[in-house]
Amino acid sequence: MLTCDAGQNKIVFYAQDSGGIWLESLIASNIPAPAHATVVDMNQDGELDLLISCLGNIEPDDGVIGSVKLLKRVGDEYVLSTILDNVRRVADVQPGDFDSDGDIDLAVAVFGYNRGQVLWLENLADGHFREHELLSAPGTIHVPVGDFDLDGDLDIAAIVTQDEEELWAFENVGGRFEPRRLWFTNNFDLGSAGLLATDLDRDGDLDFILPAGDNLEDFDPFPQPYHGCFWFENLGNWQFEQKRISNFGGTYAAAAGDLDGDDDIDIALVSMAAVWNAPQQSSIVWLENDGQQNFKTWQLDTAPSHMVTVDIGDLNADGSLDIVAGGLHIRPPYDKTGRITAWINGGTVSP
Amino acid sequence: MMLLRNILLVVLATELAATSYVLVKRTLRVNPPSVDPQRLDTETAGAFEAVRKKALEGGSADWRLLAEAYLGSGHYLEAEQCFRQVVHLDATDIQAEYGRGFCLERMGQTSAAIEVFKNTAARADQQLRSTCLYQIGRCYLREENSEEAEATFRQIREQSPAAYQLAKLLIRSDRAAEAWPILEEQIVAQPNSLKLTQLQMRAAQQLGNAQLAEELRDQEDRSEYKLNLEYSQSFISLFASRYGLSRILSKAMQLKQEGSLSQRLSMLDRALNIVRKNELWQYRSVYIALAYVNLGLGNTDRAAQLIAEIRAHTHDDVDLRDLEALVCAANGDEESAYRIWLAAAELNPSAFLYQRLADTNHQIPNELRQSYQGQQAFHEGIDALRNNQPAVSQNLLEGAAKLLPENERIWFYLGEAFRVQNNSEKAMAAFTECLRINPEHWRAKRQLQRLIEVSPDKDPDQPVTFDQG
Repeated sequence: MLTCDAGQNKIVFYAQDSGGIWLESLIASNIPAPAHATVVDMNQDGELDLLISCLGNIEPDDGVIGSVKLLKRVGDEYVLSTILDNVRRVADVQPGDFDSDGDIDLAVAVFGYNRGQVLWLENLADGHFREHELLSAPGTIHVPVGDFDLDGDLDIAAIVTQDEEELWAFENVGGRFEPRRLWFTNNFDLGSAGLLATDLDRDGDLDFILPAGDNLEDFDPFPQPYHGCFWFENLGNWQFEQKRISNFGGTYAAAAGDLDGDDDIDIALVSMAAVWNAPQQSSIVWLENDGQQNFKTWQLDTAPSHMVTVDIGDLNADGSLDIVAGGLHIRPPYDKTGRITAWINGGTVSP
Repeated sequence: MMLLRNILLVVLATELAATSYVLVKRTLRVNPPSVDPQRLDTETAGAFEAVRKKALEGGSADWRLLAEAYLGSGHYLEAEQCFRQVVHLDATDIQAEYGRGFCLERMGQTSAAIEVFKNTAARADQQLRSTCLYQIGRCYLREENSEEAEATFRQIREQSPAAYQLAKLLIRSDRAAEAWPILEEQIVAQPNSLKLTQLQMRAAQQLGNAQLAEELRDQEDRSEYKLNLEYSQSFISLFASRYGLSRILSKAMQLKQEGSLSQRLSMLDRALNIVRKNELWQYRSVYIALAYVNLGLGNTDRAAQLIAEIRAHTHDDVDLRDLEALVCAANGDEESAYRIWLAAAELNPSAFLYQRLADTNHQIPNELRQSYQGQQAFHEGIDALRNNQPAVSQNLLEGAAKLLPENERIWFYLGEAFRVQNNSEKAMAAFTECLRINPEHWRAKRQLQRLIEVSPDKDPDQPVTFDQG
């Protein structure tokens, strides 16, 4: 498990020893509020490097304090360099050869606060990048990359939150990008909290999964009826149909994978805002796909509370997918805190 | 004897009547809701219980105090119940009616909230009516009912946030031409407003005016956040610091402006006891403030102890590192202080940290000290530019460039400061200097190219020089 610890400004790697004990090893420290780590062989030398999206400050801040760092794997070590700085808070970086010149370019979500951007960085070789602004708007969280129109090149998508609540795609047209606003809502309080590109209906094209429920701007966040999770089904020709698949209050993150081994894609969701004093209040759920994209919600746990990130992977190498989630405890109550929690898939789920 | 019996009968009848009255009153009275004390700090829990007991015996004013106490601490469900009782006891209390609508809106019950706000607006003065209508408009937005939202915002178009929301809805429904005069009117009242500039940029894009959109994009970086679009925080804040820990913290904050260090120390110590007892480590600010106060009073050991607690239980940031460095310096370990500030500046470079480094008592070469002074001026210059003070920025950056003449970034931002002041020649010279130092500085290349494009007399092959004198 690779984790960004924004509270301690560290990148940490976890691995289990033969006895099943998780051991923590520090990959890098003094990284300013890392929000996301992306694994990629940046210099194509056969070694996996790490791209780190740095907020600079985990708290709301409109300052030019963000950066993109590269931890290049050299032998048994990681060597730190800065790819981009002098920008506002960066929440996500994703790689792709956008101009088809054989090297890896980057899509960057500059979340900022009241101001932000979507950028792509053109790789000019030797660690130099040229910055291109695709959109100026605050609150971009994720920039998934994929061939969304199935024309053979890589496009960029972006979820823009804050006061905008818009889903954008930037269609790659020969190394230039044409913006397309795929969806928006006038409910500026929706609280989009991320964006996942996955072929949920397994029809050969990439759909989007949008978790929504971030209302941390509120004094005391309360779950709202419009919170939950949306599936944007790719209908082709840049048409996406929005479908609600969950009403889970305070949904803050989503992950996709075949959790029950029935060859379809299920979803895990975590919540940041709920009525936490209710003993049976779910903090993590999973949505069972019946194969036709009808979803049944199962409670996975009631603790920890206040989780902000979730991922799916086979943690114990037993062939079934497990779930791991991370907490952010900046609001009360504080009786169910947790830093990193894993749920091992054993048919019946247990933490 | 007859008289005595009659008196006794009257007394008995009176007692019976009084007892019956009390019994009926007790039977009919509404039990005020309570919140789980486990969810509160001890001081707040005690204060809330006292207010609740008063409401149990009292009238609408007591219920309202309880409602506001719950609202101020985010207990919307309980606050709504109390506001409802206030309105039941005193139907003329439209502030309580508004408070009830507010709680419903916070809990996502937008339809019910709209009804309550409409009732309130019908009986309210102009200001409260306007606030209610704005809240109604926002509720409609949350219901994705754009038509009703637009109609509502139109009713209070003179109110800046409503005008903004109206213009935004118009732009989002491809009616930028209608939105434009609304925005122009608003920007006169609130020049350089960030939110209005952003909307204008969207409108200009929609209207096909790419050049104007680009100019507004440029302006966006230097505009200010001044339009309050969301009333919730400010409304709740009215009631948030009346009781318990919040009250103590509020007083401590007040003492920062008005009181002595020892008064502040006493107040913060009181807060710390509550925070510790209830493990409310979200009140990291209490620890930080207390550590600074102790440092100010020369209690370095106490400050160090507090800092160790912060380090053990909360997150790492510049404030914490600065405190650690100050303790080292106070104990005479200037070298450690310097190294901590240096690491903090690498993590989050800022004028503040470079000032600390420039002022260090640790023995460092003069050249290094000057470079920190240059970095301090550089960061102050950038801050001034982003605060739309290009002339101030220019002065600071010119000073920085003298101290750090080979720093490409200083030259780039100096170019920006000149460009914003329409001094193209000096801007081009600064960008050229930046490119001399780093020929791959893409932002300088782009800005120089743009300036050359709008300066037809300029020969793009002719280098631009900058007078460093």
